[in-house]
Formats: sequence, structure tokens, C-alpha cells
Amino acid sequence: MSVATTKEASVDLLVSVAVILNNDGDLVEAFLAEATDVLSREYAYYELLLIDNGSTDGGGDRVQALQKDLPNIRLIRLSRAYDDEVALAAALDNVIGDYVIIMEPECDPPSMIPRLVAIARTGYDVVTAARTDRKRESRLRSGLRRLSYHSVNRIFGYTINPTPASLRLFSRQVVNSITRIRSKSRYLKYFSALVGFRHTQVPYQAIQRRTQRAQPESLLRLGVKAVDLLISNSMVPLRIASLLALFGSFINLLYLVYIFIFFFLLKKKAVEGWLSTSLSHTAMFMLLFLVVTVMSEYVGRILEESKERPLYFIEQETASAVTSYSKERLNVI
Amino acid sequence: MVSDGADVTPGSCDTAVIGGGFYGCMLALFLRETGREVVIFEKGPDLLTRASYVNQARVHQGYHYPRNFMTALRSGMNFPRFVVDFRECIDDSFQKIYAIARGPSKTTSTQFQKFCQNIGAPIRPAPARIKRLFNEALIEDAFTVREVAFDASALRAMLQRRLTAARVSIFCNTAVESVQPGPDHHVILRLQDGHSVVGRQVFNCSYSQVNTFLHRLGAPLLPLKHEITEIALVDPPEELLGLGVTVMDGPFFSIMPFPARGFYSFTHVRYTPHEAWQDASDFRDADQYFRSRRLQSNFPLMIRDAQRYLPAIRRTRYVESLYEVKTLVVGHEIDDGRPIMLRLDHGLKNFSTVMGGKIDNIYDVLQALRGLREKAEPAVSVPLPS
Repeated sequence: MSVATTKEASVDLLVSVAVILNNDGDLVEAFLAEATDVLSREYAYYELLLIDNGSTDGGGDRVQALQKDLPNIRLIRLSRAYDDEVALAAALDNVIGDYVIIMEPECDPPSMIPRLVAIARTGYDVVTAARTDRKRESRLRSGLRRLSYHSVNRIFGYTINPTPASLRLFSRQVVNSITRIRSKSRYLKYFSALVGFRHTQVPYQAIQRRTQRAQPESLLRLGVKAVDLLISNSMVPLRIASLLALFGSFINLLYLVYIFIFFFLLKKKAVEGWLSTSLSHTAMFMLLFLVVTVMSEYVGRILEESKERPLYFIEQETASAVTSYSKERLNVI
Repeated sequence: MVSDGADVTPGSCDTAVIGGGFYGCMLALFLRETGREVVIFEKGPDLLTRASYVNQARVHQGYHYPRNFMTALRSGMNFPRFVVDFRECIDDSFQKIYAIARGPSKTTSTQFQKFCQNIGAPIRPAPARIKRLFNEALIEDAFTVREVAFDASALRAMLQRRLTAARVSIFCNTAVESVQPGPDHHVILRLQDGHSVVGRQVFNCSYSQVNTFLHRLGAPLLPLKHEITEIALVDPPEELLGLGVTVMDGPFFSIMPFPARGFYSFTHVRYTPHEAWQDASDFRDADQYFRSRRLQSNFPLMIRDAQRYLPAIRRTRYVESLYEVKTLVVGHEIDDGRPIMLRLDHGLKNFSTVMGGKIDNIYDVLQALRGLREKAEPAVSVPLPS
């Protein structure tokens, strides 16, 4: 882990740092200054790619102003606010680095960049930085999270890292593999597990650039996400539905045999039987609608995927006016 | 007469041209045709060593400007003429491909085809063998077009011959420092070596330096923007030999033969400009500033981006980079136009400035001058000082 990257040693290395801006205009300046400082010190070649995900706080304009003085900053403005996962797809589609680091400006320290790259250069393709300061999370939340990851991992048969991490490094190979997945339902964590390659994890201490912390996502939304992830990427629910359907049809078959034997062969009279009729109806309809529910979820996703629309639209792309870093020019505005 | 400028300096001349680039030389020939004595002052060791040499060597047919109809149309009209006039400097041995990117391209393939038809530029779908070279996910379509490159060394030799035959005096290694008003509406050229030359009429064809002269004169600056640019010279892999490829229309790249050196030039819209500034808000002596910069090649960035669109380019061998100041007229970044600026008697009587961005647009300048001369000739016929 003590691999020292000197600027000379990294001439043939290009590091990309990708950041999604969701109304982060207040902290983008501080983040970019710090990241530029770290990157220009460590690497001969790097780029900072900012994806403005439809911010309405003027963050994009602030970045454009900074592009006059800070080098190697690219800004891509998406045409509107998309889901974070779509914005991440835009980032991975457009970075050109050999190693790509995804960061959140609010809590990820740029000083981690050299460490992640150094670890990756020892032979890893995915490096996840796991936060050590997780005390804010309630017991219920953490329990539910673990449970859902546990079940999802069981169903998929490969391991998705349960630690909530925004700070990640991907090698070019992993980025190339992930960008080939054009699925509309996106979950980067799942994709990075899906494509495989060599993974590792490092602990890190998050920082706090904002005094007011963002509200954590509601449990309901997280639940919806988990279901979506499961249905979009697994056959298991569909298989359960077909087993249910098979079970239902088998019971019905038994009932049919019963009717045949008792009313046609034994010629028994049937007058009463409201209870048995209602029972069989309700039970069967319940099964039927369960199956229909699962199937319609799948049909919906097939419809979504079959529309060959681009994942996102780019409104504008701008780049820094300078490509080399000179400190003395920074003070001239 | 070609001189290295060591000791031969005329004390006075009829017409002086500052800058021995392509525009300066062509203007000198044009002025000579009208019967004047013409002298070229070039600060470099030879003619055409700067921006006329360090560029993509592309002779435009208009394909490049789908967002500026005027520039495209003029290019289309000038192209056949340029190709005939400079036949011996033209390299048309390669197949030129324009590929239209998906994603953030400002043009779609349908629009591009329509545009080419409108300006009358030939265009055909590229053969399947060539289309296969591109990454289908990022490139919408590819076309074969007619575009050629020029050999700047051959162009230099040719112009030198024509200038000598026309008896235009050329002073190389002779830097003009500034111009000043002289007696009888003459213009005094102050040379860097301390000498002065008096000219009856002076043309400022110094490209990136035109505003430096205006600045020293105290004249209003032209609205110019400068970029320090890098052209990487490369050896492409076998699959790309004999091909020129330009990916349109946005932050993409271009690779095409660079005949003057026998390599290919490789440029990228995002990484070729290293720095940019505007004279209006941030005046700098462009050349002096350029020389003061230590530049690190952006080739590693260019190649990494380009190989996403054209995977075969990965095995390109880097040779070296040529750096130069590129000067543009402000206000045309959006539609990508390349108008020429011609200012007669700008800041000083009998001192004119010509700033052109594209080598094949020279005909527009000459035509404009011809028109002006016919109108104004009697007024400028001042007798030569003896």
C-alpha cells in the first residue's frame, strides 16, 4: 500500500476523476481547488469530469467560470435531472482515463485519490472505499440494508458489496465492460459485481464539506430500488411466479378429478357447497393475480428496454481553457 | 532576391509586407503584379515556417463548417482554384473519411449529407471495410469525401521561386519591432536590430502578431482570440495508412497526412488548444508569450479519447509535436466561421492589416483588395521617395 507515485513514474498514466453535481454549486469550488491540487501534484496527465445532472443552483456556471483558470476540467451538462445512476452512466461513457475514480464532492476527500490509484496499480480493477464513520445510521436501517443485500446476493449468486460507498475506482477494463451494458435500469454497484474482475476494499474517513447533511434516502425508496434491481436483473421472481402458477393448476386439476368422481361417477347430489366454491375461487384468484403482478412487472421492463432511446441527452460540453497548471495564473481573475 | 537579413537593409521601400507566411507571400506577389516594388520582412529563418507550416495542412472544401454556410460556401468555391494553382504542393493520394459521432455531435449524418449536397461538395457513404474501423456505438455513420492536404515545404519552395522570379525582395531573420508614422504619410518600420526602413505603404500580415503591432502603435485592436495549439506528428498503424479521418462535429479528433514531414498530423478539438486568451480583455504579445511557455504534450489524452471512436488508432506511434499560436476572429466560435479581417489604413495612413484564418481563403483577400484598389487607386498614388 505504500506505493509512491511520483510524477515522473506516472507519465504513461491518465487518471480521471468523475463527479456528479446534484445542486452542489456551493461546494464545487472548494472541491475542485483541492482535487486539482492533489491531481496536478501527483500526475502528469489527469482529467476532472463533472456531470451537471440538471442542477438549478448555478453550479454549472460556476464550473464554467473556474474552467478559465483551472486546467483539465470538463463539464458535461445533461439536458435535465436524471436518476443518479444514469448520470453515472454519462460519466463512465465520457471519461478517458486508465483509472476512473468516482467521488461525491460533499463527503469524499481528494487526498484519497493517490491511495486508490496506488492500490489499483498493485493489480486490482475495482477499489471500493468503505466509510469508517457509519454511526449515523439507525439500527433498523442498517439491519434492513444487510438483510436485503444478503437476500439479493443469495438470489444473484455473486456478492454485491453491502457497504454504502460513493468513492470508487474502476480500471479502464471495468469501465469498458460496464459501458457496454445499456440497460435502462441501472445500478452501478450491481454492474461492477456483474462484470467481475479483481475487487478490493479500503477503509476511509469521509469529510464534511457541508454543515447541513442531506437527508438519507427514505426506507420506502430504498425498498422500491431493491425490488427494481431484483426484477430487472433476475429471473428468480418470475420463476417463483411460474411455480405458483404450476401449483395452482395442479390443485385445480385435483379439484377437477374430485368433481368428476363425486358428481358423475358416484352421482351424488350437490346443493350446498358455498364455502368450498368460494374458497377455491379466492385461493385461485389470489394465485392468478400474484402471477399476473410479477409478469406485468417483467412486461413493463421489456417495454422499457425495447424502446431504443438514448439513456440521456447532453445539453453542452465545455472544457478548461488551459491544459497545464500554473499556480501564478490562479490568482489572476 | 533572398537575403538572410544580416547586413542588407533597404533604407526605404515602396511597399513592405510584414510577415513571410502564406498570406504575406501571396499578397506580395499580388502587389508586385500591380507594378510596385515589394519587400517582405520575415522574422523567422525562412518563409512559411510558422502558422502556414504548423497546421493540419488541410485544404478545405467546406465539409468542416456545417454550422457556417458562408465559410463552407467560400471554401467550396476556392477549393478547385487552390488545387489547380498549387497542384505541385497538393497531396491527394489518400482517402478522406468524415465520420459523424453520435452523442454530443452538433450534426447528424442526415444533416451532414444534406449540407454537403447544398454546398455542392461530393459525398458518398464510406465502404463497409472502412465503416468497420469505427466503434458503432459512438459513430453514427462515415462518408468518403474529397479533401486534400498541402505540402507546406513544397509550397514554400514554390512561393520562393515565384517571388524570386517576380523580383520581390525577401529579408529573413529580420524582425520588425513596430511601425510609426513618418513624413508625407509614409510608414517607418523599426527593425529589431535598430535599423529603420521607410515605406510608402505597409501591410501587416503577421497573423498572431497583428495586434502586437496595433498595440505598439496605439491603434484599436482587432477582436482576436489566440490559442496555443499542439499538432502531434504520428505514424499511424497499417489499417489507417492512406486514410485521413475526421470525426465531426464537436470535441472530436482528426488524423490525416502531413506531407511536409511524411508523417500524419493528429489533432483533437479538446486537447490541441493548450491555452486560449482574447486580446480585448487580456492582451499579450502572442509570440513572446508562446515562447515563454513550457508545454507538455497532450498526446496521451488525445490518443485515449480517439481510440474509443477508432480502436485501430491505439497502435499509433508518436513522433513529436509541433506547437504554434493559432489566431481566430472572436465571435465565430459558435458557428465555427473563419472570416478574414482586412483593415486598410488602420491606426495609421498607408498601414493595412490582413488576418486570415484559412490558407485557401487567400483568393477572397486578393479579390477584396482588387476591388478596393480599382476604387481608391488615385488617392494612394504618392510619389516614391528618392
